[in-house]
Parts: sequence; structure tokens; C-alpha cells
Amino acid sequence: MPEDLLVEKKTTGAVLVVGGGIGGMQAALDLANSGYLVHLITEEPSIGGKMARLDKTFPTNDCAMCLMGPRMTDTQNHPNIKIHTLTSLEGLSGEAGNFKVTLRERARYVNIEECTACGDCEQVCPVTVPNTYNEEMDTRKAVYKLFPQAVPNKYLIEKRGIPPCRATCPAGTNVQGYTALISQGKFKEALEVVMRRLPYPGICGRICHHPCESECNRAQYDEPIAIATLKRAAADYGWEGLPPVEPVKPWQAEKVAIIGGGPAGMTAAADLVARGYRVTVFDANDLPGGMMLSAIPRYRLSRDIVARESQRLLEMGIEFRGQTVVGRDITLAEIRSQFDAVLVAVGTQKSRSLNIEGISASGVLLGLDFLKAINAGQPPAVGRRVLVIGGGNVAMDVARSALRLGAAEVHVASLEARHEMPAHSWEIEEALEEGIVLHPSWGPKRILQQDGKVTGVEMLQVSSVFDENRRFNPKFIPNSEKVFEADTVILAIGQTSDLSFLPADLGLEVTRGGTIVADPLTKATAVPGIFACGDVVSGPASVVEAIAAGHEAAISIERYLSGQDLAEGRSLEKPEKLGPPEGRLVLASRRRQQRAAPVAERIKDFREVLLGFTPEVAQEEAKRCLNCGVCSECLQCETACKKKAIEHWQRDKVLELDVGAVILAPGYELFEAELKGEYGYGVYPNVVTSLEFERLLSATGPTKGALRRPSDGKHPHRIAFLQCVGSRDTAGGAEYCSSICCMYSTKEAIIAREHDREVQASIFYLDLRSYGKNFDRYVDSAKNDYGVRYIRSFISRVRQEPKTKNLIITYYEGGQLKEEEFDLVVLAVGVRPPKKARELAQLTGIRLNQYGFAWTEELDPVVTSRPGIFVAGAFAGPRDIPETVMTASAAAARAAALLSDSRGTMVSPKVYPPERDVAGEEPRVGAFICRCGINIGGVVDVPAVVETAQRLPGVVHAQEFTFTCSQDSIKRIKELIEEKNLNRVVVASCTIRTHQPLFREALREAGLNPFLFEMANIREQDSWVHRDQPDLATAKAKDLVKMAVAKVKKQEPLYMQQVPVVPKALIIGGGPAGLTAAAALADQGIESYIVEREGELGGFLRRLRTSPEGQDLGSYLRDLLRRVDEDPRIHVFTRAEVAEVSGHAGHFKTVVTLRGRMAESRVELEHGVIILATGTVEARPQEYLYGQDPRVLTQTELENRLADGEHQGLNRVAMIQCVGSRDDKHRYCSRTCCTQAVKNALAVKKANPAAEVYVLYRDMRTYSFMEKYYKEAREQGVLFLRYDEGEKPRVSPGQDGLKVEVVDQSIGQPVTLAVDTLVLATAAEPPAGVKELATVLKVPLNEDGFFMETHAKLGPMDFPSQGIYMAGAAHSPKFLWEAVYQAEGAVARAMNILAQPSLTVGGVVAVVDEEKCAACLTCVRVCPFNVPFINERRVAEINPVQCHGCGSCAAECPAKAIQLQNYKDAQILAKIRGLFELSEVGG
Amino acid sequence: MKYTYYPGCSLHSTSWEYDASTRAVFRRLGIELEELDDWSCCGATSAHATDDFLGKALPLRNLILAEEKGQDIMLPCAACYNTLRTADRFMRSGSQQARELNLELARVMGREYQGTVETRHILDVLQDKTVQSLLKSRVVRPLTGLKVAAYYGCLLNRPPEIVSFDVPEQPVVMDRLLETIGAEPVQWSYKTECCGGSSSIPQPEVAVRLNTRIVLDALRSGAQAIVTACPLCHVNLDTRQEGAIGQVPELGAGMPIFHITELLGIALGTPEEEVRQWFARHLVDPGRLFSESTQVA
Repeated sequence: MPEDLLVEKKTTGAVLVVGGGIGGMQAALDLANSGYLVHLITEEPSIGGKMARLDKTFPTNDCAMCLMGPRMTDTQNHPNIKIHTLTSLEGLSGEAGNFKVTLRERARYVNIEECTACGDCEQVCPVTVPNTYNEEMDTRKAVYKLFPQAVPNKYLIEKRGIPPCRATCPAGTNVQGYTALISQGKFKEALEVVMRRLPYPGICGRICHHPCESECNRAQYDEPIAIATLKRAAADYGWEGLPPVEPVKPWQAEKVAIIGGGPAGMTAAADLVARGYRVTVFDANDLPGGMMLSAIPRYRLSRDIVARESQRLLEMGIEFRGQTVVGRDITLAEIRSQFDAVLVAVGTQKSRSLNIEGISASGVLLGLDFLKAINAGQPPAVGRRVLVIGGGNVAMDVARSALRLGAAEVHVASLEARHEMPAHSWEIEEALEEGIVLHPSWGPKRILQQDGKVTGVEMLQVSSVFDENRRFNPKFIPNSEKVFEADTVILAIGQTSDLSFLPADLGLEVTRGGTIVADPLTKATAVPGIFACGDVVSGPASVVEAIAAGHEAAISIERYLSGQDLAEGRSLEKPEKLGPPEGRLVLASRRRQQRAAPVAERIKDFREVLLGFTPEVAQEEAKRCLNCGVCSECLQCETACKKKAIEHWQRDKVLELDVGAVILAPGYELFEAELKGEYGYGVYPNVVTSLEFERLLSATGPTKGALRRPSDGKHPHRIAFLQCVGSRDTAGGAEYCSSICCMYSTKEAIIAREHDREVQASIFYLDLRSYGKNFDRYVDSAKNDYGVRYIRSFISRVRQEPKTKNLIITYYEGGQLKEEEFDLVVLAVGVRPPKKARELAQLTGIRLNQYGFAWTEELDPVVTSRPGIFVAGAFAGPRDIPETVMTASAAAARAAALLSDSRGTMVSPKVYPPERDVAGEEPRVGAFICRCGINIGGVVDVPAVVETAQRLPGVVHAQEFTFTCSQDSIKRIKELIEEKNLNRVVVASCTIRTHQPLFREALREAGLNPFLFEMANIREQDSWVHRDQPDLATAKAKDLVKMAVAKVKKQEPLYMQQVPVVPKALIIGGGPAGLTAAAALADQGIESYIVEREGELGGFLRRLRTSPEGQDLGSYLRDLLRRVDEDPRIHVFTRAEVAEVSGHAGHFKTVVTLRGRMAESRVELEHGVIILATGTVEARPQEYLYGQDPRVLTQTELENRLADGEHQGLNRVAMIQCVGSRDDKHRYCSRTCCTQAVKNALAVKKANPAAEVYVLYRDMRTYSFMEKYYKEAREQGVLFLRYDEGEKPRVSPGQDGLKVEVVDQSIGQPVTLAVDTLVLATAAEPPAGVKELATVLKVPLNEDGFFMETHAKLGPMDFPSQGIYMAGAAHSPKFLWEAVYQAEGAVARAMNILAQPSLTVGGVVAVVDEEKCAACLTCVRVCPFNVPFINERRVAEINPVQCHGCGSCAAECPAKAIQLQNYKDAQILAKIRGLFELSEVGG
Repeated sequence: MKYTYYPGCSLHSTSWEYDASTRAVFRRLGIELEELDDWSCCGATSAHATDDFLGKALPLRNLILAEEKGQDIMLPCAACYNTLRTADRFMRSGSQQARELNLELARVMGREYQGTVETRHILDVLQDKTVQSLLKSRVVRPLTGLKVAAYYGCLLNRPPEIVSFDVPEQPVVMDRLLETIGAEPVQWSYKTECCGGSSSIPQPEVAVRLNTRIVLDALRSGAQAIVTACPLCHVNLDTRQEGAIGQVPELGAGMPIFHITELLGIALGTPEEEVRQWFARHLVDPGRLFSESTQVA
């Protein structure tokens, strides 16, 4: 093959869509349906975007979620759309047509394939956090689903990182985990979490020095959580519930010896036993526990606790050789010969002494020996006055023990000053409480004695203990000697190890301090096979540090024994400290104090001093935890999940994909209402944002749809809506208009009133910007039908009534300042660019505009500054839902045009086995009953249902599955179809909405017709709603199964037909929308016919001259016409009209009449789709002397004069807005006139800055970024005077030009203007002939004569009849760029059909029995989609291409001539009869 | 830590107790205050309205004096603070007029203003992290249970681009300070309401009306007292309650008005003797609050 052919550049037939909101979904669906592979990414765990958080949408007041649910399901089930949730774009390279994108998919920690959304994990999760979906007005768990209808319907776990408590714990104990469980009273579960890292929970709960508490983030707000005491509570109240220990049978050959049975040695022993090794612990004592048993005073740690915790470890299978002193009873050499590895963990068991005069006097004792003797039951005698020397924890233990042994006075002298003493502060405080006397900064010089018996110590005052290098180097003050009298002196100045058992020639390195040198990371010594850890390495430390060392040593020993590298992947570094969760409101609460035995009593004996928490107090204290890590990794979910879908080990994934184009649809953010402090948001509880209000109205909201105000839960009646919060505001807000708020507030006011008839809504606004299709009607209905008050007043402050928490608003109305009280204030917060706009722009290399939104060329509204990257929805500026849908489809069209050479290359059709013919076979039904974990199985007696199913006639196989939808169950069903020769299948599980496609697919894959399937919903319709009545629920499940089986037996195979598509389009209207559509179709390789009534193309655009940004529209049109003229795929018919249309989507036949110069002729065109682009015309004004006085012009006439440079007579100009709009004649707003007036006013001012320009308006509707022109006009001195609809301006010819009289509403005074030119903003109205066209096409018009779309929100370009679309002003008045994107969008919609070679039709559709049809027209009238018609045979015909299968006609047909496939009368009746099957046998 | 201290005229006269309590607080915090030698009128009440040159030159003179000291300058008076900040900002603008004014002052004082000194209100200093932790650790008499409305007035927060160290519409610094010393700040709507200070002499009835609204709202919000950080607000609120006293029974003999430093001073353990001297300067006696609840005075 020649070289140049090989390197021919082909594009990649896949598109990346960024954003899972309604825009992203629309773009994805349009692209996927026209032959492209789509990767749809969203950073959220579900698709749905902002719309999923709305309650209702106007104007139909439909539930937003109900509208979007099917759209979400379509997106998810589409074979050509791959949804990547929790995914962000990280990199992009390449160029238009061939990009390489890098995606990061955050870990979900839940296996998305396995999760069935049963919610068991959520039930057991102990961590509750604010629910961001509901604007933090309620809470959710750390494992959660974004909202009940989430798609994909899967759980996820939120993690922030390792909380500081856990990160700080030397042993890595999961503090947040057990705290969370304790907060729920789950002490046993909490204890199990502790014991994953800490074999001594009760011990550490009592004596740990808890470094975790010093790191606790709660301290930033009040006081740290009492973590150690909580741990004790877990041990105190959870121990009894622990399951018995199961001894581990060793499976490794190697044996390990551990010298020392203290915490370090025992921890390592337990770890190694658990890993299958045989472990022997050698210890001098008769029981394990080391110092915990032998030295720590019983009043701090009872013997029982040590014994029971040690015992549990021994039960695992550790061999303990007590009373064995290595070096005496067995030599190290002997041990080394018998064992494969040795761990030295002997601790520091020798007290240090002093080399001073008198040290050997009687009555001088060593601290550790003293404590050991007490614990051994042989307490040494103490005198009346005891002096303890030392400032550490042992000194405190000794002093307090001496007190308990009967000393009258106990003194402690330490070298260190009080704040330098090494003892823990709480140890010192408890000692002081008990009456111990401290003498800081004193050091012993000599011990005084008499008759060999100690009498006191001569002490020297210390000036400093540490030198400048913080090294121990005490300095004494000369001549400061003082005698401390004492009859007993106990030295507690430190401990050291007894290493005498180590042979000198062993090669172990020992420090001068008497500790063994071991690698701090691996605990390996210089001698291979010998490890050392704990105090013998570190010097005296704490229990938890010894445990930590034990864990590490165990890892190293295992690695050593299995020949692995000891250090690999391990590190001593701690991660950066995780702060408290951001933006959380933390209410101050005090740390609970644990109980303590009264001092007077406790010093008499060795009873336990600290008594821990009661279970109730422990729970309260645990609830103070901030859950810094969100998920606590307590792993309760792992246990609860029957499907084993929880995967805490998951890591983020990085994906690289090839795509040809990118569509950015990340949506928008809302203005942060806190920034407008004057409204008190965040301060006054009853001031909420509009989105919070949506959630308060919503059934899935925090109040379950009951409208309650936050402060007291009362139903608010007086509700104020404040508009423009953060919009049209240069002081801290944004300059532009957010476009959507006027309408959403109106909707919210109406919905609130629908919730509660008592609601009185008041909307405070600046200009009411109801500029869209049917918007003014909606506002009228708010005023007239719902009593919504609209008050034009900008609110500068909200005050709160302190007692009632009502809100007081001062406003200006009717020339007066008024003060009014409200129960609730809703802030209409404005639209902001998405948070990640900047990052996204940087990554993709696109430009942002001055406001931070995606920049686009004014007249090319979905194309960014970088080729191949398109933008949809609010990322390009504030947009409502229909505009978002239109731009999304437009972006899809542009991407598809770019990639038209690779259409269909990345999608591959699925291959199925040949379908089995089951005709004539007796029904052989397989019935599969789902337990859905415990969701069904926990309520319904599933085996009983299976048993009933088995006995049903025709059922040859019945069985249950834990999860029928899981991969293995599906596989089994397919096998059974084959093995048992099944020809019908019933699944009794959940809803058909989400699961039927999955099971039907399984049938198809097993060679059965997918319609031989029936589902019974025994979850949503049974187990979930009858939880409390399991018996009745079981009976109902049986009934549902009986009915499903009865019906499935009557089911018949249904086959889809293929109808070929004519890949051409008919475009009616040759204005900018029609021309753009033709060009966009041609870009995708599609031929089109443009039918234009007039003699010339261009429509109304021919009369426009400049765009608001100043572009020359004349040259724009010329370019467009040239493009159309030159393209051979575009055929133009001018002076042409559509006369007849027949056929259906995919294949229409249209007769067009052509008005020639001489005669009329007709052509017949065949095409697959129709795009209506009939546009509008400028209404001719009847008022204000138009047509009578040459000085009166329309705005368009003025525009033309200005463009032609005719500036005479423009020194004094008045403009009147809404001439013929928003009145009785046209009840709608013409949308473009305000901006046109501002544009022309600026042009007048530009030509002649001295010109006077007055704009007489009702509401200035310069929405979105056009607000900047309005602002500029005011800055340029254009005067804006507001008039009222009831008091229209009066115009008369005057002496000095035209006289214009108007009552200026802002001052309430009449004003008379004398001008030389009067300009009228006239209405835009549908052209003549639209009604007739609508009749020919059988499509509806609205009251204003504009075409009516299928759905105002989600179907703005579609008609109920498939294959017909609309674009441009045929929909409603609009700007040029809006017509452009709608035209491109209509093309994307049309490509859904045109890209297919044929349409697959049939299945669940209505079928007419012509014999029975009486042509009564019932079906024609009742069909919501206008599908049935009476054909040439004079009977009803229903085209399967167009039928939606809703069944309305079948239900209504009086002659029963219509049957809905798969829901035929016979099938439904069989189902009903099935209910009574087996009833005689009580089944 | 050390600050140049600019008391201003109020603290040397009508609000003597604000000065005394400020010094007491900083003494107890161990932070040195060095009163600016030879400080003069800041020009706040009249200069800026009558003579543009004086309006800027008076504060500038003090800024130049303070700059020589090297450390930040701290002012307890909101008006002085506002005036000095405004002058400082004007000088930092580097405009032609600013340069001319600087030369003019240099001729008199022998020194130009360099713009190296930071002018800070006492609340701004007190919200410093280090000062906060000092304060926290040195509270010996937490004012537990005392409900106080923090009142900020106008000059501390407006205009935000010149003076604001806090959220201008919903300031919180004093509320946080109250929490630190154990008192309970109440939530109310009049934190930044005008107290009518400037109308106090020409139109006292306006001042009375505005004051009454503030005091009554604090009362309804559950406050037992109001705390201020401005001598003018303090004087107004303390002396202009006559409209409400007698008419609103819950108000009793009036709402005590504190300087923030008085409450801090008490919490930091200022001896009763000294506190009594401060209280003696108030028209509405705050003493009873303490005899009832926390037995401070």
C-alpha cells in the first residue's frame, strides 16, 4: 500500500463528555445514538448534576427527578456510553480529531459491579456526616448513595485520609473507628477494632500516655476527645461479647523464639502465630505481661486485666516458657540452634543506682525493685517519712505506692523543674491530689545515715538540668546544700536492661546506655536472625510504643524467614497531619471526665484509682468526635455486605483514552450567600438559599417535603424571595445577570403555595426577567392564581427578630419606606462559573471570558477557543435547562461533524446466538426468586415462595438466588435455560425499571426471545413496604410469583422490524436557523432540502446589521449564504411552500409547491427528518404615530440607519420598549428588544456623545452577559425611565419635535420629553402561514403561535411526533446566536435517526385488528403522541415507528380492536387468573 | 511583643476607664505598650470635615511619629483608627497630593512618612493567634454565663477596603473574644447599626432614638450587657438610654455597656479595687452583673 494512504489522518470516533448533568447526558445520548463511543465523566458519584437537586421544574411543575430519571437510565443503559463516576480530567494532548486524555477515577471503595444498593452497609456505618446533597441540612453516613435514585445505583465510601489520632498512635490503632462505634454503643465491635492493632486494649485504656489526644483536632474547638478512656470503655463493656479465641494451627515450618513476654514480645508473638509460625516465648516470670504485670502499681492497672488480656494471646497458640531465665536456664546458643529466628525483647528491668556516699545504707531502696516486690505480694516496709528521688513516672508510682504502704509523708525530689519533669502531667497531678510533696530542682549530694540506717539526704539545688544541646547535664548551685530528712529513700532515677545473657562474642552492638542497637525501621540487629525491639532498644518507653515495635519486628521476622527484603516499602515517615473537616459547624462541648475513687479512700490500699466511663458517658464522649477521616475504616460495612462488595483497599485509577473531541459540560456553581453579609445567611437560621429551599420542598429533602423552616420546624407562611443576590452587583457579586433566578423564584413561590395554601410569597426584585418562552404567562399565573406578590425594591439588609427568629425587611414601595416581617427569607443566589473552571481551562487550553466562564465566539456559541473542544450548558454562561439541552445537542452536532469520517468505528454491535423457535412448545417456565441479601430474604420466606413456584403448572425449575442480578446468577440462569430446555423465565426480585433490561438480555444471550420473560417485584412492592408483617409479605410474594408465571406462559415472542432510513433532511425556512441547520447537516455528510417561502434566503437576519458585540451581521449572512450555495449537499427551493407531508420518521414524503414566474409547479421530496425553522417577523406597530410621522421608527429601522451612518435627527432620541409585546396582543416578551435598544442607544451616544437618549421601559431584560451593555449605557448617560403597563407613554407632535409624556415610576412623577426621533421596540411574531403548516405536519402550536415542543425542559427541539424538530425563532423569539445553537442542536437530534441505516421498530407497540376497527377516532383523539390515523382502508393505523407503547389507545378502544403487544388482554387476564392458582391447596 | 500605643483624646478624658482597662489587659498578657510621645489629635471629629489639609496632616503627623518607633501602632479608639488608616492608605496611594503632603510634613518634622508602620485596632491585635493563645492561657476568672451583645458600630468596619480586619457586615472578632473568656455572645441584628454618635450634639433626639433601638434589640436577644470597642459608641450607648429606661420594665435601671478591655481585664484577674474604679465611670452601673453571677466585683 502506498505510504501516503497509510498515514492518512483519520479521526477517532469517540468523544469525551465532561460533566454528568443534564447537558452532559444530552450530548452523550445524541452522540451515542449517532454512532460515536462516548466517555461521560463526572466527579460526582452519580450522574444528574444540579437538576437532580431541584424539586420541581417550571412551567409544568413536574418533579425534576421524575423528568430526569428516564434520561439517566437511558444514559446508563446505552451500549455506546461509558459512564465514569468520581472521575476528573487530568490531562489532554493531541489535536482536534485525535486527543489523548488522562482521567483520574477516584476510588469508590465499593465494587461497582457487585453492589446491589441494598443499603446494609449504610445501616451499620457508625459515621454520620452532613449531607451535601441536601445542602447539609441533614446527615448521611460515610458509606452512602448520593440520592435515592442515583445512577449508577451504587454505594460509595467517602474518605478524607488518616485522621491524626490514628496517624499519631505508635501502634496505628484505628481511633476514629472505635470511637465511632462507641458513639453507637457498639462496644464489642469497637473493641475488635482496637484489637486489630492493640492486643492490650484494657491495659492501654488505663495506662497509655495517649499521644493521640494531643493531636486530636477537636482541641481546636474546645478539648480533645478522651480517647484512652474510650478505649478502656470498649474493653470494659465489649470484652464479654468477644468470640472465643480460635487457636491458630501453624502452617509454616519455621520456629521463632522470643525472649521477654512483655508487650513488645507478646505482640510480635501474636502476629507471628497469626501468620502461621510456631512461636515460643521465654520469660523469667511465671506469667506473660512483663512490667505491666510485675511493676505497674495495681491502683493503676489491676492484675485481672493483665491476666485476661495475656491469656487471650496465649490461647492463640503461643508457647510460653515461664520462669525461664535465658542465660541461666537455657543459653542463647541453645535457643539459636533450636529456632530459626530470635527476637530479644527483654525490656529494662534493672533500676539504676547512684554512686554517692551512703548509698548502701539501710532504708535506701531502688524504685523498680520496690514496685516489683509490692506486685509480687512482698511489700517492703517503709518508714514514716519517705523521700523518692526522681521525676519520672516510676518516681510517681513509687511515691504513691509508698503512701499506700503506710508512709505518713512522701516527698519527691527531682533534678528537673516542675515543667521539665518527665512524668506525665496527669500522673503528677494525681500524686499531688493524694498529698505527695514535690521538691523540684533538687539533686542528691550524699545520703546521711546513722547506725547504718538512712536519716536523710543532703541535696543541692539545681540551676539547670539540660545544656544548650538539650542534653542531660545537670548543674548545681554551689553552697545550696539542704538536708531532706527521711527514714526511707527510694531511688527512681531510671532503668537499664540486664544483657548478661548475651555472649560477648555474639557480635551484637550495645550502646553505652545499655541498650541493644537495632535498625529503627526493621528491628534487625547486626546479627542476622536476631532481632530486638521494645525498651531494650529504645530505653524505657511506653506500652503502646513497645506494641508498635512488636508489630514491626514480626513483619521483619516473617520477611527474614521467607527471604524477602526487610525494608522494602516501609518508612518511618508520618503523613502530613489531616485537619478537621472544612466548613463544619462545631458546637462547643466539654470533654467528659472519668470517675475516680475518692482520695481519702484510695490512698489506703491499692484499689483502682480511675474508674472509666459509664457506657452512657462513653457514648456521649464518643459523639464529640469530628470524624476527620470521614470513613473510619472500622470495616463494619465489610462484615455487613453479603456480596463482599466493600473494597477498602481500592486506589485511585488513572485511565488514558483516545477521543476525537471533547465536550465540556461541567455546569456551574451558586454564589456563596455568606459573602452578602447584610442578608445574614449563615447567621440567621431562617435565611436560606434558593437551592436549600428546593431541598426543603423536595420529597427526598431533609424534611421529606414538608415545608418547615430551620429555626423551629414551623411551617413558614410569609416567605420573602430576594432577587439578585450576587448578580447584577459589582460590589462583591458579579456584574452579569444570572438569567435563571427570576423564574426559579417564581416557581419556588408557586410550589411553596402548592405545599401550603397559607403561604404568602413576596418576591423582591429589580427587573423581572421573564424573557423566555411562556415565562410571562407563568409569572401572570403566579400573580393571579397563587397570590404571589412582586415588589420592585432592592433589599439592602435583613434583620432578625431575636425572639421569634422572624426576619424584618425594609423596602420602598409606592413612594414609602415600609417594614415587614417574614417567617422565611429565600436568597435567589446567582450563577457562578464552576469551581474547576480555571483548572479545566488550563488543562484543555481553552480561554475563559472576563467572568470566568468558557469563552466562545459571539455567533458560534458552542465552540471554544481550542479546535475540537466544545462547550455545553452553563459553563459558557448562565443558562436554564432547555438552553442547556439545546447547547448540549449543538455541541454534539459540532463534535460529530468534526468526526464524521470515523462515525461508527468505535462502536461494535453485539453478536447473539440464533434465536430458538419455541412456537408449539409447551411452556417450560424457570422461576428465580431473589433474596436480595436480607432485603427480601430478611422479610419474605423465600424458600416457601420457591416451594410454591415449584408446584405451579408449567414451572419446571424454581430456585432462589442471594442476588439474582449478580454476574454468577445470570450465568447460572443462562445455563439452566439450556440444561432444562426452559422457554419462559420469571424473576421475582425488584423493579423492572432498572433490572428488566438485564434479564431480557440474558434470555437473548441464551437464545430465547427476550419477551418470553416476566418479572415480579417482591422488593419495592413487598418486602420493603411490609417489613413488619413477614407472613403476609410472604403470601404476597407467592401471589406475585403466581401471577407472573401465569402471564409469562401467555407471552409470545416479539420481533423488531427494520425500516430503512432516507438519509436526507427537509428544512422548512431559509433564515439563519434553517441555513445553519443545512450547513451542520452537510458537515455530517447529510443532504438537505431548504424550502423557503420568500424569493431570497436569509430571513429576518437580512434586516439586522450589527450584533450587540458590534459584529457586522451583513457579512456574517453573506458568508453563510456562500457556504450554503457552494455545498452540493444542500438544495434550495425559494418561493416554495410545503403542501403535503406523509410517511414517518426515517421516511417522509413531502410535496412542495414552487411559485414560478409563470406557473406553479410541484416537487415530491423523500427524506428522513424535518426541521422547522420558520422564524419570526417584526410586528407592525399601530400606535405612537408609527407610519404617520416619519420621525417614528422601529428599533430595526434605527439599527439600519445607524449602520448606514445616518445620524441626522438623532440628537434627542426616545425609545419605547414593549410596543406590542407583553400586552393583550402578544402576551409574551420578545426577548431581544431590550438589548437591541441598549445597543442602538450606545451607537447613538457613540456617534454623538452629547445626544440625549431616553429609554422608556417596563423591565430591562438584558439577561446574562448582556447586562454589561445596560450598565455601559447608564454610564454613558442614557436615561432609563420606567413606565407602567397601565400608564403607557403618550406621544404627540409638538412644536419642538415629538412630545413624549410618561409617568416615571421610580419617582412617581410625570415627565415630558421633547425628542427629534422616537424609536419603537416592536414585537416579534410568528410569520403568516404557520398555522397551516402546523396542520399539514400535525404538530401543535402554543397560544402565541409558536411551535410547541414535546417538553419545555428536556425536549426543546423535539415534537411528540418522531422525526420532526424545530430550530430558531419558530420555537420562540431569540437572538441570532441562540437560533444558531438551536439549529445545530436540532441537527444532533435529527442525526439520532439519520445516522442509522434503518430504524428498529416494534416490540411493545399497539397493533390494530382491522377487522374490528370501526374508525371511531377514539384512538386518534386519545393518543398523546398523535400517532393513530385513519388510513386509506378507512381503519385506524398505528405506525410502529412512532408508537411509544403507552397503551392509552388499547385501553380506550371501544371495539377492543387495539391490543398492546406484551400486555394483551389475554395476557393480563391470565395474570389475574394466576392470582387464584393453587389457592385450593392453600399455596 | 511590643506596640506603640496611641490612646487618642477620648481615652485621656471621657473614656479614661477604656485606657486604664486596656493597659491592665496588656500588662496581664505581658505585652508592652509604649505610649507614643507627643501624640496629637487625630483630627477625627472635625478636621476632615472642615479642612482637607488638616484632615490628612493631623493623622499623618502621628503616623510619622509612630514610624520612628518601628513597631506596629495600636489604637483602642475606632475613630482614631479609621482616621489613621485612611491617611495611611492615602499616603500609600503614592499620588501627587500624597507626595506633596509628605514634603510639607517633612519640612515641619524633618522626616517623611515611609509607610512602614502598620496601624492596627486593638481588636485586630487581640485576634492575633499568639495573643489569643496567651489570652486563653491566662484567663483566671472565666465570665461563665454572662450573655453579651457585641456591638461594632460603623467606624471599625467601614469602608471595608480601608479598615476591615473582620467580616464587614457580620463581624465576629469580639464575639470570639467573648467566647475565649467564657462569656456567651448573643446573636443579634444590630452589630453594625449606627449609634448616632455624630448626631449626639446637634440632634440628640436622633441619637436617643437610634440608641434605644440598639439597646432594646440586645435586650430581646437575651443580652445582659453590650460590649463595644469604640469610646464614642460606649459613651452614646451608656448615656442615651433614658428613652427606654422606665418604659421597658425588663431593662430595669439600664443595660450595662462595657469596653471590651473591661471584660477581658476582669477575666484576666484584675483586682476588684481597680475594676471598681473603671465601673465608677459608667452611668449604667455594671457592677450588679457581677455581684449576682460571677462575684467579680
